[in-house]
Amino acid sequence: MLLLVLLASVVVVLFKGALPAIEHFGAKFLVTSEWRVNEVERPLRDAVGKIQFDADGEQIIETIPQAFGALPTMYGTAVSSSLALLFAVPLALGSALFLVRLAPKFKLAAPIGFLIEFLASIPSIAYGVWGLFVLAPFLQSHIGPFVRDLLLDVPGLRWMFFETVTIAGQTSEREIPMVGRSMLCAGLVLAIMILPIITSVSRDVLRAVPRTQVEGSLALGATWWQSSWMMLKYARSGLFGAVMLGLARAAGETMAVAMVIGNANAINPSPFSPGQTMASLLANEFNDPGEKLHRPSLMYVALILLVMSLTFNIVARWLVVGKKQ
Amino acid sequence: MQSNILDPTPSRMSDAIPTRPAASQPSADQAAPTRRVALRDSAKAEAGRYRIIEAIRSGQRHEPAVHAELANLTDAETIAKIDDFQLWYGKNQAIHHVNINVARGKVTALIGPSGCGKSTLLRSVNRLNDLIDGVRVAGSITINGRQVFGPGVDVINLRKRVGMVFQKPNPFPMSIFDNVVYRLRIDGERSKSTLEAASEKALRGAALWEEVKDRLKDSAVGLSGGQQQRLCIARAIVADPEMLLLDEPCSALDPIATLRIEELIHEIAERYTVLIVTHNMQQAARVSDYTAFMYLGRLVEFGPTKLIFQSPQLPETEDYVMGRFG
Repeated sequence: MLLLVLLASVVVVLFKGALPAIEHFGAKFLVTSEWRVNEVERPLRDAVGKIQFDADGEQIIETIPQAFGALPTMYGTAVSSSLALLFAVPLALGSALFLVRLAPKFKLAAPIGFLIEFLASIPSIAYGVWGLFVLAPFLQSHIGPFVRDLLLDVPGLRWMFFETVTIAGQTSEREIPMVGRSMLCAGLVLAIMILPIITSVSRDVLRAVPRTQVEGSLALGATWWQSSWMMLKYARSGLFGAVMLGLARAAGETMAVAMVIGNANAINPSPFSPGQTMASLLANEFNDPGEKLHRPSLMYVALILLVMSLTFNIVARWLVVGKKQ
Repeated sequence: MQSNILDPTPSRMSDAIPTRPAASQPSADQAAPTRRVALRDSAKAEAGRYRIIEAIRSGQRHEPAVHAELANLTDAETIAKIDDFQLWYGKNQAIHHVNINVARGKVTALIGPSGCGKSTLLRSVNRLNDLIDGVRVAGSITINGRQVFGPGVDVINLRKRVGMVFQKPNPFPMSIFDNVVYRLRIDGERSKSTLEAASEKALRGAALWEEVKDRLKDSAVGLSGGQQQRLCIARAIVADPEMLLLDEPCSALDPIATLRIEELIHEIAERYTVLIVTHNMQQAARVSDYTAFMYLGRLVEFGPTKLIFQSPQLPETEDYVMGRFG
């Protein structure tokens, strides 16, 4: 009951805070990319970039209003979380299979299980620090260049390493600098963070697979891998729930991501370029919100994040717990 | 009553109703004291009546009563030879010096009280016991002359040659069709027409085709218990195994489903040799050609089912099949 009141109050506070932005931007907030905290005054230029003058020879100054759109952060959240799942899910399912089917034979199930739960309890800031000081430089100096050399000549992958920019009417292609702090780095740090939770939930789900299912496939001559595949298949809805729990954590993760993602509020398809997630945007800007619509817009982003995480969690719980009953 | 038991094709419902293995049936260790009491009472009445059982309890080697018909099986008539087989779970010996010849093209039933090792023995034939830690074996089992245990035995290949059906129906969480052809798919068979032909043949063989032919793509989990078990039989025979192991295949089914499975076992036995474990004496009497009575991991008596149920060589066998003991 108290929890419901708490949840309701969070929603109400966010909604009230976001109301000015909701009224001002409406649903367009979800599909626009600009994020201009302050009004900008600048000389007016024409299409080819020439500064315009008025009749008296004075520069014409245009005023560009504040603008806020959540699309880049939603994109960043989606991409960083997807990358995290891409790396974490195969590893987590493999580890869970190991824990359920092999580890007991070597009396390793308990110690490794303990280790995994321990990993799950490491505060995210610690992962962030590690990502910032170890992973990001390593990506910048080794993995990034290596992958570029490897994939540069693969047709259809040029977008990973080059971007098209328009500066003052000039369109040119330039190489994306390997800065280390990037979408990929965030995806990797998130993958490491969600690995334990997906592993431990998957382990419990796989443990609940009836013996007869595994024996049934083995008795038909299935190999270890084929019978493991059968286990995964049997437990698929529970495993999907485990993945959703991991996804919810990845999408909501704040500090670690803010430290390694590079904090660039723009959509860039390359995983080597910096980005921004909803949560990292909030962490970066909430301590010093600007004037007028900035604060309501941040509230709006927070509301979107909350609704999204709740949805993930509800779907995940329903898949893991609800279906068994 | 005896004539009912011996009637191989049950015509009346009462015959088809299995005396269920009571859920509360105690395991061997728990049951031992009660049995001892029961035995002491009967022993008072007929001292020394259970000669072999007494020997087994006191841990002596005994000679099981094997009827001449089975002792003299030729190699050609034998599909599986269980030879002086022993098995330990850790320090506990579960099977002691068992010799059983499984006759080709016949149904052989293993009966005996809980904990007598009949299921363990069955699961040794396709080495499903390997999954349990600390299992050790001695002696040998051969199927068509090929060793089951021993270095260099390909367990996967062995299990492909021996079909098995479990106590509880265990259809895989996929469609009926995918269930039946699972065995072929794991061998890499991809041709749709081959799979379809094989699944129809197997489903017909398991007397399930008419019921499911229009919904092969439906989930197998939606079938009734009896249908699921027949599906499991279809799955087990789809690649023409050399032998079929049935581990109390009817214990989770209702009487009518049980009846259908029992009829099916008769039909199947013509093509595949069947080794069946059952808790249910009437079932053993109805479906099997030969019956082995086991007790505390030892073979007690092994002979043609008719003789085991009508005129067994040992008084303990007679009392067990009549329900007076065990």
